Amino acid sequence: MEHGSPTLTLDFFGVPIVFELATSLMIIITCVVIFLTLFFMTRKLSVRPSGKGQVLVEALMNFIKGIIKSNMAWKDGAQFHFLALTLFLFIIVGNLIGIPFSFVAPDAEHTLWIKSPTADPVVTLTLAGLMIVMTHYYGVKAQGMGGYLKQYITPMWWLAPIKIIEEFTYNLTLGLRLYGNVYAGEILLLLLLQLVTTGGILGAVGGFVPMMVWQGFKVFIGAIQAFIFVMLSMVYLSHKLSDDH
Amino acid sequence: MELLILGAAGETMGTAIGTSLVLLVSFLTLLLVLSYFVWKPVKKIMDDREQIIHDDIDSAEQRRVEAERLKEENEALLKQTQSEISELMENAKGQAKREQESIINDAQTRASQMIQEAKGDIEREKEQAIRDINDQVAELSVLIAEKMIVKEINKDDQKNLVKKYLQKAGDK
Repeated sequence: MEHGSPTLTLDFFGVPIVFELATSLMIIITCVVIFLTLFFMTRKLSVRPSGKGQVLVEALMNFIKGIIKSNMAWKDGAQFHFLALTLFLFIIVGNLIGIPFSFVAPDAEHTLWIKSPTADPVVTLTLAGLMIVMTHYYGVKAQGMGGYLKQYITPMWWLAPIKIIEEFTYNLTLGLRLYGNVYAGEILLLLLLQLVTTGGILGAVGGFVPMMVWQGFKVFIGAIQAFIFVMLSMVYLSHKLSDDH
Repeated sequence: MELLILGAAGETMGTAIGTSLVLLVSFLTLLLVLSYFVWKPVKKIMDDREQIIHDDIDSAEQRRVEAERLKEENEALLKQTQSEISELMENAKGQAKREQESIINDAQTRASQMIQEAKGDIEREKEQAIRDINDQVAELSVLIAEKMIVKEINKDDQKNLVKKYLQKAGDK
């Protein structure tokens, strides 16, 4: 079953700028959910942790710190701590937010309003692009333009074309891996949902258990994919930061 | 980008730059807002805690060293005090012994002196007593003689009388 996606097109000096409304809405909802959750988890901070919220946030911070530390020295990586934290949270919440709810509007196009924002290649590729552009920026910043360019001709000068292509494949693999995992999971979830809701008694009974299993698996995949995305971003960053790679 | 993903998605995907913009703006806003409201305060608390733990460990180490030093000082002081005390005890014992001896000596000399005096006194009393007895004997002799003269007695009687009186005087 096809799901329509409503768009809004703004004309910007002759260039059409297309907004996918459902995805945009979910991006904003995801951000708001993350912010409110964390904001209210960390209102009563103390050196001796008094609530579960603070302990959880600290555990998360240490977890991300561990990811960064496994790729680069902490004195280099500390500046990416907040970015990696926010990225991890955005991806994991974006992945998970499509699991419990999915709202298909009862209009002719079957508009899917509530879904994972990360089930959209534009979103994942934009995030991946942001990370890759950032690696180049910090690469130049850390090693200077000369050192940065020199990376393309080491160890062999004729490897330069491959190295340049590699930068684009980083972007694509990083974004499409996340998109593929989440989108596939979402499609299967929607199919199971249709089976449960329209398949009669047999469909409802037969589809319920697989749907539960698949939701559990999707939680697992969502967490793993968020971890992988942040981990790989930091790996690419560390490649650009250090001169001995 | 268009080429790469058009196959997978509909015709709107390739040009959905607006969604990208929404994502970038939202994500960067989320990053800034979370950094300000959540990450920085939590990080500060964690750093504070780390600092406090470091300080505690440092001060504990410092206190341990200080305690060790004080302990050594106290032990040295204790040892010194003990030796002083034993020295004092030794002195006191010696002095006490000397005093005891001198007291005993004094007592002995005084006692022997007193014995000497008592002996002298006894001697003198004795002599005095003997002298008194002699005097009395003489007087009695005179008395007896007078009675003899008054009574007119013979030689044997007189002898007996003298004997008798002498005996009487001796019994007294």
